[in-house]
Amino acid sequence: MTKAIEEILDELYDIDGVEACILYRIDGVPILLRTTGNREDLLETMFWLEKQIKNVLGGMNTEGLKDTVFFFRNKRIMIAPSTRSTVLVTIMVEEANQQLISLETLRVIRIIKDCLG
Amino acid sequence: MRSVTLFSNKKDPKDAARHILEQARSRLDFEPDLALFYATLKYNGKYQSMLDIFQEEYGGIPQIGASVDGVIYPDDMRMDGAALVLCEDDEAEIRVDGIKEKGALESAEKLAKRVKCEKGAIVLHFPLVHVPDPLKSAEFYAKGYYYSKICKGASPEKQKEFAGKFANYCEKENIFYLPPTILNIFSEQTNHKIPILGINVLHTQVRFNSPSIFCNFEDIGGGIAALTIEKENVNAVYDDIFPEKGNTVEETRSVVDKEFKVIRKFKANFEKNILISLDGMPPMQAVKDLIYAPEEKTEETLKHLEKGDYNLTFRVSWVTKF
Repeated sequence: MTKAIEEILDELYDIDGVEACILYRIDGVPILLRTTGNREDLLETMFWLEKQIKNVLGGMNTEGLKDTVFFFRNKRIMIAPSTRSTVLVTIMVEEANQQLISLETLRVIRIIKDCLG
Repeated sequence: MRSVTLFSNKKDPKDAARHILEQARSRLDFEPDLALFYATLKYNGKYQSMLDIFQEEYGGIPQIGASVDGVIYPDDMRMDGAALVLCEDDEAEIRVDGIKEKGALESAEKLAKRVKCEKGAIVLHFPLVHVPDPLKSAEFYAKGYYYSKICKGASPEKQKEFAGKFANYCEKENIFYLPPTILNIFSEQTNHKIPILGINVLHTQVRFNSPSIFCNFEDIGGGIAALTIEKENVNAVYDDIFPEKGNTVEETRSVVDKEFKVIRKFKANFEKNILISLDGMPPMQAVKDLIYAPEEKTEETLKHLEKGDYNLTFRVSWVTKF
């Protein structure tokens, strides 16, 4: 099961414009991460995410949203709940093809749901 | 026909090709007779390095393919990556020919003469619109702008002359391939005896040197490739989400009136594939403020727009005597 989720995150990370993808617990604790090297800018984004995820999910739940995109510094961050207890975060460069990445994210979420749901 | 589909979306094109080959080695239990290769724009400009890797392994068999926006195969849809389909058919004789020369129609005519098929089917791969390199693209925009400028205020005859010149330029530079014309060239060459299928490649994102057509492990850019399947009892089935065209212009008009909500009708002035004017106005100006929402659905539409989950579709129908 873990291998399947790792593989699917690898595939998401291989998409052009994706800088990192992280599977979080809904309380903001990261479970799985895909990125390259030790990147300070990414750590900053992760700290921000850790603080925000709970609030964002609460807001999304109230508004009935399936996913949401934030602009943080020069990054685009897509937050999409994957199961009742996990949330998938995709960090993209500004010029990434958001439409394409959201379609691929939906596919990844479907597979995560099959594994964990 | 048996087939196996292999997919990879690794960042590096060579890694992706090798990943596909690894999967092929473990999954393939037949000798392939045909390779189909489709890849997304992620590998734009690097397709040849992938094709070279495939050629080392499957160089002896015909290959056809193109750059695409995504691939759909059983139970999955991928919008990023490359797919190799290996096929086997002992009863069929399969060939792939391609051409990349100046002039879309000239290329099609030359290739049609080369392609021979007595029974079976021909599957063509060609771009619908090919975006050339930056220099040629700049030339295309400059020419378009120039002809558009001098058309303003010119007499209808002069407008037709300038539009004709621009259409000839687009044809010579292989920028537009007109599917009905291309298909007809091949159909005439085979005496209308066998089905001709056309895969018109077009990307939703504009990139230089795209789309690309692949023929026998070579990236032929904006050329045309033909896959010939010589086999008994090959049947082509045609279906469309749009209604059938009428036999006359009037009949087609009434079909469009019946099947679609016609917002406004224009009298169009064409020369070859260039639209000169709509009701005497420049085309962009004529359709600029054309907005329509069915009354009974306005509220519902606005509700969706507020939530940002509404897709708007515009459709322009040209009723011609073609």
